[in-house]
Amino acid sequence: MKVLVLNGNPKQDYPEFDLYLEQLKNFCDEKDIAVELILLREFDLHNCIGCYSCWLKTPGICFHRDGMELLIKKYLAADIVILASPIIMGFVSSLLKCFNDRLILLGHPFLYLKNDRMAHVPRYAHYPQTVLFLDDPKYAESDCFSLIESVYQRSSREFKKMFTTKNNIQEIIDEITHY
Amino acid sequence: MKLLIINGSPKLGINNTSILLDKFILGFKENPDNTFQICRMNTKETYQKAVNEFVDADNILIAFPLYTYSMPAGIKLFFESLEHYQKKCHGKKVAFLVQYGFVEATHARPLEKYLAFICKILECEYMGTIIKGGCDGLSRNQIGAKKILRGMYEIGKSFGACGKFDYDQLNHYSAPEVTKKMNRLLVKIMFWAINKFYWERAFKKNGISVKESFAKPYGE
Repeated sequence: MKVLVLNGNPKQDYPEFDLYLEQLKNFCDEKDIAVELILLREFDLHNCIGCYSCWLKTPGICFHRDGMELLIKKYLAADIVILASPIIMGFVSSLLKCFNDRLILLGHPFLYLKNDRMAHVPRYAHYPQTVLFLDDPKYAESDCFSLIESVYQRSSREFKKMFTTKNNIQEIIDEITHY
Repeated sequence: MKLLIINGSPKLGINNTSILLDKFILGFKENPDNTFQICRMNTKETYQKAVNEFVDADNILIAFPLYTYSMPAGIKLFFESLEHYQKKCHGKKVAFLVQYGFVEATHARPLEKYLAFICKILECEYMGTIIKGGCDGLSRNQIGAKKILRGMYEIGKSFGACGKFDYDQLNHYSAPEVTKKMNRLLVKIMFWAINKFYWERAFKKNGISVKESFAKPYGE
C-alpha cells in the first residue's frame, strides 16, 4: 500500500494546512504505511497550454519538461493519491488545478461512451484511487463542497471521496487503506 | 453597452475560444451603441492586467475552454487574484462563455454552478454562461462548424440588443444535455468515425501510428 499526498497549498502564510498533512504523514509512518508527501508549490509547474503534444506528437509525454514527469511516475505508482488543497475562492487552488490539468496525458484522445456521455479512453491499465482533502472553507454556508466534489467525480479517474480538516486523521487513513 | 471581453484560453496561438468570440462580437456589434474591448489572458503578466481591467469595467464576458470539467488553472489564478474584491463588485455584470470538445452540455454543468457562485461572493450580477461542446478543431474546420458559429453570432446579437442573455436560446444552443436519447449504435458509429477520421488523421499528420499513440512512457 503506497499513499501519495500532493499538497496544493500555494500559501506559505498558511502553515496550518501543511501541518495537518504532516500529521497525516506521521500517522501513516507510525502505522507502517508507505507514504510520501509532496509540496506542489516547490515545483515550478507550467499550466497546460492545450497544445495536444501529449496526444499527437509525443504520446503520453508533456511538452513542458518541468518536473511533472517525476510526479506522474509517483502518481501512477501509488495505490492512493490524496489531492490536498485549501479552498480558495470556492474551489481547489490554481496550483492543484494545474496538476490536474496536466494529467490529460493519462488519457488517450479516442472517445467512448461512459455513463451516457463522451469520455476519453484511458492510456494506462491501472490508476490510483484518489481522494480530495480540503480545509474548512470561509464560506461555510455555501455549497462549494458539493460543487468541487461533482467536478472531481467527473474528472478524476477512480475518485472515491472528499475529506476535510474536520475529519479525524485516523478515520481518514482507516477508510482509504480499505479501498 | 460597453463590454470587456476576457479571453482566457491558455493556448499560445490560434484558439477555439477566440473563433467563437469573433462570431459573438459580430452579433454584438449589430447594435451600433455597443462597444467592446478584448483582453487576452494567458500568461502571468496578463492575469494581473486582466484583474485591473476587470476592476475598472461594468460589463464583462469571461471566455475560456473547459479543462478537466472546470476552469483551466490560469482562470482559477485570475479568480484567486480577485480575492480582495469579494463583496466589492456591486454594479458589475459578469457573463461567461465555456467551450470544449465533448458534445454534451452536462460536462460543464458543475462549472456553471461555480461561476454563479464566484459572482455571488464577489457580489456582482451573474448574467449567465454560454456552454458549447463539440468545439474541438474549430480552427481547422470552420466550414464544418457553421452551425456552432452561426449560433454564437445569434447569441451575440440578442445579447447586444437586450443587454442580457435569452436563457431559452442558451439552452437550445448547448444541447444535447446527454447522449442518452440517441441510438446506441449510432453513437458508436459516430465515435468510431471521430476516432478514425479525426484523431487517426491527426496522428498520421504527426508521423504517429495508432499503436504509438497508445504509448505508456511511465510504465504499464
